[in-house]
Amino acid sequence: MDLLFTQLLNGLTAGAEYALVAAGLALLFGILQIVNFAHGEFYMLAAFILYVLLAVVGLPYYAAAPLTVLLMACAGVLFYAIVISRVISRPWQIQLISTLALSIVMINLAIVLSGPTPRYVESPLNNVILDLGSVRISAQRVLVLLGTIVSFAALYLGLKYTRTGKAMRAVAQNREAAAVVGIGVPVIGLVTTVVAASFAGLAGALIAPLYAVGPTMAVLVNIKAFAAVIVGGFGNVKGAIVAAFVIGLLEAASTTLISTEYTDAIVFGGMILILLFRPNGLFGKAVRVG
Amino acid sequence: MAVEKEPLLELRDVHAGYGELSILKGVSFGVGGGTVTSVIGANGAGKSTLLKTIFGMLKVREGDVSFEGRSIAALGTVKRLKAGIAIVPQGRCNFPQMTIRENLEMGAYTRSDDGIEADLQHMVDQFPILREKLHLLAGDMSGGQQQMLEMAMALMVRPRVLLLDEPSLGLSPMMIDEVFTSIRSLAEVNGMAIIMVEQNAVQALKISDLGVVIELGRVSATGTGPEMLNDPDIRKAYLGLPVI
Amino acid sequence: MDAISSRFMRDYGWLLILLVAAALVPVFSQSNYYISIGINALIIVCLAVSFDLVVGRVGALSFAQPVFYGFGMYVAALLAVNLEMGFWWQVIAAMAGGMLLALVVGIPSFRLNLHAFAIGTLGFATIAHLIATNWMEVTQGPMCVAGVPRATIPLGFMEIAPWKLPQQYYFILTIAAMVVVASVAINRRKLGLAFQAVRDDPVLAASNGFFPTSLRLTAFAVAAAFSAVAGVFAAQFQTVVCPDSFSTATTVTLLIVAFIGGRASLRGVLTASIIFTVLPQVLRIADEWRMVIFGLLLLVIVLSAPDGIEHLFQRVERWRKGRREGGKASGVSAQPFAADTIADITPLGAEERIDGGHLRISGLSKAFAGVKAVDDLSLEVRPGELVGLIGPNGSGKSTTLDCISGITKPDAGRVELDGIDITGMSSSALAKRGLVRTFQSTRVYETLTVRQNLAVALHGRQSIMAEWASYLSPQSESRSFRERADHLIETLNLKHVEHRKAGELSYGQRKLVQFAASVISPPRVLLLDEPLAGVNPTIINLFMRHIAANHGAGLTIILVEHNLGVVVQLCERLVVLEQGRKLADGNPHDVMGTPSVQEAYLGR
Repeated sequence: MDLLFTQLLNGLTAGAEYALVAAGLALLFGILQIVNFAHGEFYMLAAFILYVLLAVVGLPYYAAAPLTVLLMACAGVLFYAIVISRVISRPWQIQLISTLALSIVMINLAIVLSGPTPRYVESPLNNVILDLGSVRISAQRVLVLLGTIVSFAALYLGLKYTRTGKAMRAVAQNREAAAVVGIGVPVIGLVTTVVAASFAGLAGALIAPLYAVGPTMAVLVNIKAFAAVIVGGFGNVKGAIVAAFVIGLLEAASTTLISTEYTDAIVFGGMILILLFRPNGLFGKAVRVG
Repeated sequence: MAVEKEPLLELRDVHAGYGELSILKGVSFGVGGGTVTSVIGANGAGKSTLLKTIFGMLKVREGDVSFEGRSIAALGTVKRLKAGIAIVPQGRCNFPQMTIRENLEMGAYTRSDDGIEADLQHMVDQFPILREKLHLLAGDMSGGQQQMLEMAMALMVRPRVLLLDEPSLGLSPMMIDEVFTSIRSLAEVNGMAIIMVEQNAVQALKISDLGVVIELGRVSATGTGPEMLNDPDIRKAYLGLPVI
Repeated sequence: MDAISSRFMRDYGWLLILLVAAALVPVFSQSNYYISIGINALIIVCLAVSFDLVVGRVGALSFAQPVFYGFGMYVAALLAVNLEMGFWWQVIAAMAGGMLLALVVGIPSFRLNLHAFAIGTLGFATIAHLIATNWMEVTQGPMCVAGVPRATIPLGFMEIAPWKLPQQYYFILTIAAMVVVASVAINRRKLGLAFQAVRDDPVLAASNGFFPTSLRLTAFAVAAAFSAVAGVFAAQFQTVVCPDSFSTATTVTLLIVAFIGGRASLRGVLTASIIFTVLPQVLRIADEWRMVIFGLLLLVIVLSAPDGIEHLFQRVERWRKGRREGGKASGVSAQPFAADTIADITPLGAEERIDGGHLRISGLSKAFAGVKAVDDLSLEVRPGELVGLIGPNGSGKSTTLDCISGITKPDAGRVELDGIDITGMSSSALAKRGLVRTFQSTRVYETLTVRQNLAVALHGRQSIMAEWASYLSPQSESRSFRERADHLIETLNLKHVEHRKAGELSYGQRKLVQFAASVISPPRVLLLDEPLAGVNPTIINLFMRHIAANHGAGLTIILVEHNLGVVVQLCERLVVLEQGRKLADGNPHDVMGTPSVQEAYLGR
């Protein structure tokens, strides 16, 4: 029972990590049709920002975590100005290469500046263990799960009810129609990029204390988040989040029940199986032709 | 029916195009409030480009577009919308996964006054088909109904100039009659200037005050609706009617 | 003779120059360091050309190319170490195995869509890497297969033992040249056109009779064989084969090379291969900042020249051409022209008889998300009949055509062509049986010229045997095709745009091209989905005359159209649909007089 619960918790934590990254990817893809290969590196950047704020600047975690998200929102503005705004109306190949180039720059800059040895981020909540009868859980994990749920709820409400959220959905559904009713597509592009970067920031702020922080920490995460975006139904944010949790839980299950070495193989096998039965992803709509 | 007024919208020697391709090579004409203008011409002559240029989706490379006497050539689409120029382009131009109500609200995106709800009610009075389906998704409606919705969305801006690209495309004969009747009454009742591009040129000219023929990016003829319908050259080349 | 040789030089000259330059590298540089960079560049050329075959030519993003390369290396190493097999056996085993592997991966993932294919190959790459790392008994995992004996290569009349670096360089250069030539050859044969058609619009390709999945699989398997062969050669030189040969770094390089080079552009891909293998080496002087600078350079290149190297080449060419011809005005606008200047329109050249098919539809139903688009529809169209299918918007006309033509599978009911049940057959198979359709949304192959659009349509409609047998023949036009195409192009007023890419044409012109493609090979049943929507009256006249001519020759036609004047004038029989059901069926005057039709459709 304990083992099962621990593995379930591991699965949910990993799922939260993938989901926070995948949500940003799905927003960028769904609204702007941008394939962002550097999105995982935003998560890595956020983790390093948190590390610097805690270990170098000496802020307490409660101040450093929100500041990380804020700084990542600023990074989103820069990302939009330097890359996205120039490639937004280009074919996906150009978007892919330019974001890939950015990812190469970020990973290698991190290697140069911090060296390949992983670093550990200390959060006071790591040492607070909550005792729930037969199971014990660290407060940081509780924070991860709570923070993830709250942020997704906020995203859902924001997209559904705010004026900007509606405009974001409008751009996603028909960019030409959005321009025709007077929605400034560039402004929506900026907002979307900032929101996506902030989610990566949140991932770093919440999850970095649980895992080791290093230049290549996000490479696999990004690939799995991509798988989640595709399996979730291209650009469907809700679908991507659900699929990310499915991947996390699948990993935990296969680690416990089958083998550690082949976990990734099982996860991709599962993704392909899902696509075999749901070619348009879990939540995608079948497209009518003609 | 044509009342002489000073032009609400005027084009003077407008040049525009895409990239290296130059499509409009000097288009000039003016339209007054309360009138309907039909732009006709062969496929690829530059009719849709003309509408996009008036709306500001394409830059005016040479010449000038003025609205109520002021040049708007340098304004972007959002400012033109706020000034009162709206467009219903060719092809599907709504938000398929939003309800009809949400779509109409999005139509008024550039407005911030509190008359939006009243206008919305007014719109569903005018297009009763929309009232029945106010809470259905736009993408689930038929093509003709979506066409109606798109017209209503454009009207939510309270435009002074309305640009329509192929309003009858893909509609059944009953719907076409309905659309043309409402276009005529919109111009007369609301006093707006409507400029439409239409392949169904005979029917379009019948309700038009002005006809403009575009050929190779230039205006090759203008005239009132009846004049156009009786011009032997135009009958032959553009209307597919026997010469009388 | 002179003309031929100058054309050869124009088409292949740059390849020869590149080859000579590459051959001179070891002459000018004795340093092993530079030669080994050259070997790396040539291996990347092999992989990039095969990658481009899949990504650029058929438009499917594949992450599997390095795996086939690694597979080739392992096959060579394991066969040489364990079974002491000779070089050619290694090549054959790697090619056959690579193609087989490509089919195993490709068949399930292509069955879905291109996104699934991308994920499928990504998963395959991950799994292959895990197997290479963890299957200790065979691959020895991270310890690598070491001591691969250097093969001598028997060529029949002599044996080569490329044991020194310059010899190896020339050897791999030969292989790279062969791969490049093979790729050029594919591109210049009919197969190249078919690939391009499938990339541009798979739905249209299927309705022209192509099987898009088979063509994509062909490209994927051929590319796999190319990569595997490169792997066999690499194994001879490296003598140690490790799981890292699958590394994502190779995939990243390939992505960069393929996209910076320019989609489906061989010269672009070759140039980019050289730049992006040499660049990291040059940047070694920057030490630990090497990859940072590499990434930044890449970013700057993409953002400042987003259309790739191919685009730069084209600009240079246009500039040179412009200087030769002295700036001729470009841009084609449609000329207004009167249809009655054309003397007579025959369907396809001579006074040909068409053997029209007999279509019988019974109990056809199809629902989308619970809404019945077509509801228990039965309809018989006799050979040579021209039936107008009309009805209000959303009454199920297009869905009916979709069900007949194999684009959508009906929920219930049966469609028969000449007594044979064709329900649920793919649109590819139906097109080969002569059941052809056009699309309301107007589909053309945008990157092909008008003439190529027609040629591709003709090719796809042949029998499967004839289609595949002629894939390797040159793209030159046969006489019978030229006659048909010239006639259609002439009578549809497309002469002035026949060499323009269809993507550059106006809406009405595309409709004409689509129509021409549908009748380039005489169909037996033609389904026309609103051919007249949005075209001007002169083109309407033109269409009417063509439809009437084909009808007169015996073709069975279903015409979905809103323009009632045209329908009543052309058709001998009208069928009215409302909410997916048949409201009326009979001769136009009776049907238009029926009160229920007037109410539902005309609102009178």
